[in-house]
Amino acid sequence: MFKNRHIITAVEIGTSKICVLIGEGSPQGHLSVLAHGESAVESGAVCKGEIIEMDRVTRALDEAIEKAEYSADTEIDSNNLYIAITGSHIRSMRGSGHVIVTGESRKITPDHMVEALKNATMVGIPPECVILNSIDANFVIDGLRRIADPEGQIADKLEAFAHIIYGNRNCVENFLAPLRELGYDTSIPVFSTISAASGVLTDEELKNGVLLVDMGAGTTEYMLFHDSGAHASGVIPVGCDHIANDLSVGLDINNISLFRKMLVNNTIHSRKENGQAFIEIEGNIGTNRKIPAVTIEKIIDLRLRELFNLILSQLQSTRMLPFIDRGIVLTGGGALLPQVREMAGSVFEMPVRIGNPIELSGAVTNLKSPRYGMVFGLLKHGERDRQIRKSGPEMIKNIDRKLISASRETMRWLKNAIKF
Amino acid sequence: MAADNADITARATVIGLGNAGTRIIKELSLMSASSWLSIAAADTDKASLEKSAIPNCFPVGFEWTQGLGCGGNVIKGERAFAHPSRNVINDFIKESSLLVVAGGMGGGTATAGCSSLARTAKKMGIPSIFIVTAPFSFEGHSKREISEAGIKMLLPDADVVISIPNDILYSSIPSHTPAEEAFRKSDIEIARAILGITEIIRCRNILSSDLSDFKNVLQKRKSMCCIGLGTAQRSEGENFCHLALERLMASPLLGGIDSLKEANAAILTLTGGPELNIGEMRHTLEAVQRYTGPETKLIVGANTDQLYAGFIHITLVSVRYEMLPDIGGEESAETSDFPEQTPSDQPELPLLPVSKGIFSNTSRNIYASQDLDIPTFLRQGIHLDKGR
Repeated sequence: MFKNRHIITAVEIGTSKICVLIGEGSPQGHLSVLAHGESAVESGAVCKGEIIEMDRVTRALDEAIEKAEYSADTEIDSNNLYIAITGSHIRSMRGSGHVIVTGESRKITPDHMVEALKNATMVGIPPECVILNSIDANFVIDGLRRIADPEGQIADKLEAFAHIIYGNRNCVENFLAPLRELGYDTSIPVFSTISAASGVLTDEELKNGVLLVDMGAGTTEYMLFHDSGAHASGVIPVGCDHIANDLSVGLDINNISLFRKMLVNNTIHSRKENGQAFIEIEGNIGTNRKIPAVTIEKIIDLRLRELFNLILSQLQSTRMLPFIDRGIVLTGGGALLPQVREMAGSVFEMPVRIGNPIELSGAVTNLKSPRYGMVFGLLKHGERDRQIRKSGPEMIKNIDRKLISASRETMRWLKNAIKF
Repeated sequence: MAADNADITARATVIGLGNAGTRIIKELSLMSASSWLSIAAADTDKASLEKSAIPNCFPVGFEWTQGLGCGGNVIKGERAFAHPSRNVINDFIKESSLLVVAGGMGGGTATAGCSSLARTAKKMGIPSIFIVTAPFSFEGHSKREISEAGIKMLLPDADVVISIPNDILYSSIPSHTPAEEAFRKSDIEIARAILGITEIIRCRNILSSDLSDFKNVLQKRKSMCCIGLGTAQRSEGENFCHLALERLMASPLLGGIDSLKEANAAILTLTGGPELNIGEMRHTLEAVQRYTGPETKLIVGANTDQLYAGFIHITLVSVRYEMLPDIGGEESAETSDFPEQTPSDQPELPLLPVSKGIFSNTSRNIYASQDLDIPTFLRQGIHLDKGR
């Protein structure tokens, strides 16, 4: 059945929604989205990007997959099933490796690049962790020149730097478990921000330097790209749910779903635009309370400012901030908050853009929202990963060296395929 | 110490003292890798020696205890070791280049015997290592006091004292394990630890860590040690280094991964066969590094030895100092080399009870001493008009 069609599936187990996208890759490398299945996660089943109640998540996932399969009119190809992983357990580090360029002409070939990268990804991580993804950051020739694509250059020594993302093995397995329960054993885990980058960033931004901030319901991830390579990344377990919780705790109203709804529907902002200084909310004892709109805004602002400051301080230690040339791209559900753009701009002092899925094509039309940037990117990432797996190391040359190293499956495959 | 390092491995002697020591020695003698050690056991209890079936048995003080043991009485133990019968032991260790003593502190024989042997070894100029277990907490306060006094007596004369609290067994052995098996397991672990430590000193051809490292880290400072060992076979697959590490971390006497984070110092050695390659070595040693805290003083050694062909063996001794100026005043100044507390992610003690709402049951979320699950404005103490 899959002989001629390339069905790719992307699964996101998020704090607010479980989303399944089915796409099809054409032989020309073009990707179209066939179907979209989504089911809301009951409150508390996933918290801060960690699965709390496995059976409810499994049920919701089953439902989402069923919906997607039904509207795509095809089955999921379990060999091309990608799942986004996030959570505060995820860490990143920089690996470096080098090769001495031999051969008469001392010209750098793709083989040299692959071996240098391979050395760079051979890093020691704690035994309870697994490497999720490794992305090439950049190459350095003869210890002097930094270059994104060294192929064809004359050099004595080629150094490669890789950005390696690893996470706790059990936490990663927890994400794969619901899929396994449903009979999909060969799903491939991908760090969610890598997929988001594929979904919402343009090549031009990746090249010139950009900071991607993916603000979901449970966690916020960030990743810094420059010269088409990743240089810093992190997960902060604070998301939109924290804002809803802040409001609920701060205003003494135990109705978290009400605040979630208010955030999604932009109620607060639009009322204020209409000149209403107070917002009426049903209190705990049934009576209505009048809450000043300023208070609500202040609570949200303080939380957002703190979150961005946290990212800023983590990035400052990497000394990579000057490399962000194209500013910040905000994606995820949090990017829909009205004041988020302004707030990010004032903390980072950089231009901010909202990241909607780009190069979106196919039968599904309602994906044009930052909420789907990540899961759509995962589909794109999956398609590229599939192509690499199919055509071997030569492929590295042909995909514009754009976030190549892909998933760990691919890396493993590359290591096995190339004998030096 | 007049020890000449060159021939330290010429003849290593391992002696088990008391009931626990005899059991450990019995397990050690069953291990094939212990063939190069000369092994002996000494006890005041006839029955325990007979049961162990170790070739070199030294009954001490039988003349007046009638082989009934000294019943946890240290004075009796001291008398037993002062008796001429113990000249046999002196003869046995006379030729040794290294003396390793194992025993369970808190009883009579081992508590008295350890310090007596330490003095003898010092007199003979033999470097000595003492691996002793501290009693279970359920064995009562008096036993604990005896054991602490015993270790105190031992410290000035011994080169290295590694004290392993028996309680650590609970943390790593499932509670449904049969008691007999659990104790046997702990004996095996200690026997393996002895083996691991003697290996550290025996073969050191790549990165050396030797007795002086041990002395530096441990000498005359009251500390708690945990030992972990992991072995894996090359035939177990490509990631056998990781397997060995995982087994190391699961060692019952290591007390879990966290104990390593809190350690003030750690001695790590890796022994492999001649085929051990540099990539595997680097991989393994770097992985351990990530486990230790930022303040941990790490001593790393790597060896290859023909005996370990096809194997990788990792030994880790983690040391946590007790910050009590208990052994004379001069050492208390030394302890300042090590910070009393590693910086932790502990949040400030909240003076006002603050609700975390839906996050109250989730994993903690501490960044820069701030609990991010608590609303920002509450943490920053900003007063807001909550309306009516």
